[in-house]
Amino acid sequence: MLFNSIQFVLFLPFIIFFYYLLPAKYRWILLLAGSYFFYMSWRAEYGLLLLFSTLTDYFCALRMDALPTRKARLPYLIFSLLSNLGLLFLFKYFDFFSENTNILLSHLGFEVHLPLLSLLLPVGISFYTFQTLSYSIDVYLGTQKAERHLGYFALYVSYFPQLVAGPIERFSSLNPQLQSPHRFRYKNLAHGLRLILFGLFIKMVVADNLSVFVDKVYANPDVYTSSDILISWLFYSFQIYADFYGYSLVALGSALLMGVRLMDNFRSPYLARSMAEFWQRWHISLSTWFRDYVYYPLGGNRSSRLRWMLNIMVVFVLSGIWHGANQTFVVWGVSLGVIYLAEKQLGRLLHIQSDRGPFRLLHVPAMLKTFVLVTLTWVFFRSPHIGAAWHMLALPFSERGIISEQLHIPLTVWLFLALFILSDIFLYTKRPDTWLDKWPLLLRWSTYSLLVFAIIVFSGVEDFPFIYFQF
Amino acid sequence: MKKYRKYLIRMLFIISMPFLMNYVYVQFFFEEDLRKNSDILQLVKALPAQTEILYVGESSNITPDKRDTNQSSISEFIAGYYPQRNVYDITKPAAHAEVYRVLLEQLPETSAVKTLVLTVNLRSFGADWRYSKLETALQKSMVLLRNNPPLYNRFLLAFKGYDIKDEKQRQRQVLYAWKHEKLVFGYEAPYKNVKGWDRELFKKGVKNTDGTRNDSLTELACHFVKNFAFSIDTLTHPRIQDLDNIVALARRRGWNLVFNLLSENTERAGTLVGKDLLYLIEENRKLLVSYYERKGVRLVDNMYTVQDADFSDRAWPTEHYTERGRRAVAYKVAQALRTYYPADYVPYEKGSGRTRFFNNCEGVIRWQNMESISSEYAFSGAYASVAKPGNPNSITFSANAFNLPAYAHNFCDVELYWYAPTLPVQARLVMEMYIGANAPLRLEVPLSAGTAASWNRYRHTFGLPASFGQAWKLNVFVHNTGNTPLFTDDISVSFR
Repeated sequence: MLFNSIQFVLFLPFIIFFYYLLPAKYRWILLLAGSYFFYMSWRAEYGLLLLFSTLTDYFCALRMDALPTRKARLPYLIFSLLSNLGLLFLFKYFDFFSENTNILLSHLGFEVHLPLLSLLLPVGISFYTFQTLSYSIDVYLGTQKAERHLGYFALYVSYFPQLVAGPIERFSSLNPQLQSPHRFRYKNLAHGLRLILFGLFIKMVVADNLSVFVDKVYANPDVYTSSDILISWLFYSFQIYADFYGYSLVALGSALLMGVRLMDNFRSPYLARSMAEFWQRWHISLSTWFRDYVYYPLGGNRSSRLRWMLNIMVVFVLSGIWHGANQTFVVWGVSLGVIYLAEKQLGRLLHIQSDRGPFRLLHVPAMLKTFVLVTLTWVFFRSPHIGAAWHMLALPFSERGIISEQLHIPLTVWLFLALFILSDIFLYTKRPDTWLDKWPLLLRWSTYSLLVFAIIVFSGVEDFPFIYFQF
Repeated sequence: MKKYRKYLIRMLFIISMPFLMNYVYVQFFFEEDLRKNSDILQLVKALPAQTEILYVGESSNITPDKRDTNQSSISEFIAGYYPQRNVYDITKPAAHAEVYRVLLEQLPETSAVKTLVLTVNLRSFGADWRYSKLETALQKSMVLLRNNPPLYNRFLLAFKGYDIKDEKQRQRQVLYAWKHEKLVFGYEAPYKNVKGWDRELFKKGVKNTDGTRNDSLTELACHFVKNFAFSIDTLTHPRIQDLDNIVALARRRGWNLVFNLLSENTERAGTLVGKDLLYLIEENRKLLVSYYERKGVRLVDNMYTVQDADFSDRAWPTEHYTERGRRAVAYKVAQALRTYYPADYVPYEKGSGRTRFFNNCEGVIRWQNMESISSEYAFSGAYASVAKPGNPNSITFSANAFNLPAYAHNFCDVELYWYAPTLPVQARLVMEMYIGANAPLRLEVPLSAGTAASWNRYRHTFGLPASFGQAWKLNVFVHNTGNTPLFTDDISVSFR
């Protein structure tokens, strides 16, 4: 069930209505049933995977909680890691591994044919796997007590607003909120609906309309001029941002309707002045996950320079692989890591202090630099294979004309993109759910009306699933 | 009190906004949305206003065979029998009864249509077509035409409130139907469902004369089973319900209704699969004939009209016929139409044919230079042909004189609509005539002055040379030597 589907438009009010109608102690049943229904609407079999992940981590955590030392808990952590990552490997990486192993071995003169399973990737498996892993690791480290109520734990794993594409929530943050007896508050309703409205607008009106042109160019780049190719890069940068940010806002808004506050996943990332800042603003729940469960355990920056650089590269490469089983994601991760390290090194050599103060006009060149670099790396992210990505990167510099003849982009697409960029600049220091609070009633409601109208009338009509669902 | 007033204002706002939004949408955006997202309506809009006999069909109407000397469609052959009547067609590949119903509901009440010839394709009743991967696009194109406020339909389109499924989901639907839909034989048959039958047939295989397995024929035999092994239930089948609705609509609108039950390759089905499949096909045919004749519909039963050799596709069961096949189907339909137009019927032999040709540039009727089709401007429908630097010719009408009746070798009337964003235009209407490899005889006339940025109607009559006869070929097109693009639409070429 997609957030931008008629099913969700009916499902969410139903859940919210009965959520407040039920006594607080029974709400978990409604939410758990609703979440499984939400997830199984893709494919009923997926529910079994979710259940397997839930039961594995529930029992492992209970066992770990009962043991006094980390050493004693370790086998259960390993079991949890192997189960979760094994499942992820089987569904997401096995074919990639088989293919590459076959190629490698054939280069070495061995004719081995590991089979390809061609399994359908369950929606959101990377997200809920990482969420349950964070719980198991926390229990192992002793920073989190194991949850004894299977229902609440299952709800933590499957909570529908953030199940399929995050934000990847920590147990310590989400579980208390799920157990809290929230009372209906108009403010939560208003703020939640605002987030949903704005989220749907940027997904359906901005991202989906940009996607039409990006898909066209990436499907057949050779017939387009240099300016078309550059436009497609620009559009993809905003498409992927609007797509994922839009999804995240709807997730935040849906949870807020139930009084649950999920973590922010984006904070105007394209206004970041450096790659380091970009990763503090882009997919925050994933970058903090890697920071806490990979980077810090590897030693973070409290180690030798060379080791620190290695730690950074490990995090970026793992982040790339997390996104998908393709060499393009590996190269994407490596290139981001290299840019990150290069910026740090240059800053050190030139004695440039990273400016973390409020936005100033002087920051614009640095922001543009970061945006251009990120945009270039997205070419790898979007391309079907490495060869296509290099080809795409080389195309604008070959002799293919400047003036666009093939790509007819309506004015409305530019207009909505401009509005989105302006809103991002405006939201640089504000939260999207509260920024309208001070506006007069008429202006506020007129804005809502315009957003609703734009969502209905200007949304893309093709079937555009959320990009991050494939991860 | 103040608090209640605040809520009252909000309530009023919420209640009034949908009406206001719907109004704004209808006034400023609806037409454009229809143009972009509802190609069915564009097909209806592109229909000439004078249409009296409307032929509605799918790809069987327009798919020629590479061996054909005359590539006319079934509807064009039918038109040849009624030169005094305006016979036009709406053809949409992969369409079926539901699409036809929606499409016919869009025909304006003021339409001149008196007779409707509707293609009934038996294969379209099977699960493979019902749940085809093309179905989602068809369903999407019908959303904006539902009987709801336009804004609500746009909401359904935006939030995918229609039967939207990806290819894998469609495959699952098909597999489910093949497994669970019962086959009704009037005798003890070895197969309970398509899945089992297909598996058995594949295992057994089709043999060559030397006894070896023929893989491609085995595959074809399985396709025949998958496409024709079903039993129609008139109470529940969605196609029957849609055809019933069309019958009711035709009654309301006073149309003469003719169903053209298309030929299927029963010869090949019998050879490859056997009598069990032929039994099902025959039962379904009898059911459709008797069911609709009871309802007062004139059903032209073409089921066995076309012979195996006249089916173009050899590796897949389709209703794409050679010229001889299309002519045979058209002949039987033309005979049925004599009930309504006894005085207008003109018998003709092979070698003569229709005299009027029309292209609305929607891409369905294939003339030459279809690459010139563009969606930038359109007089009717969503597309027109553009002649501009790089491709200076419009779509090009081509004909062999031997396909024209002898009485139509004297004059050629051309009518079209043209549009240029700016003036002047340097464009000419061209007729090229030639015999064999000889240099063509070229007649050219400049397009008359018109208005910039609006559609201009243009008519011209070419006199054909006295020597014009069977061996001649001709092309008609617009040639633009200027830098301003020139759009042409609704091109009509008639001979007399």
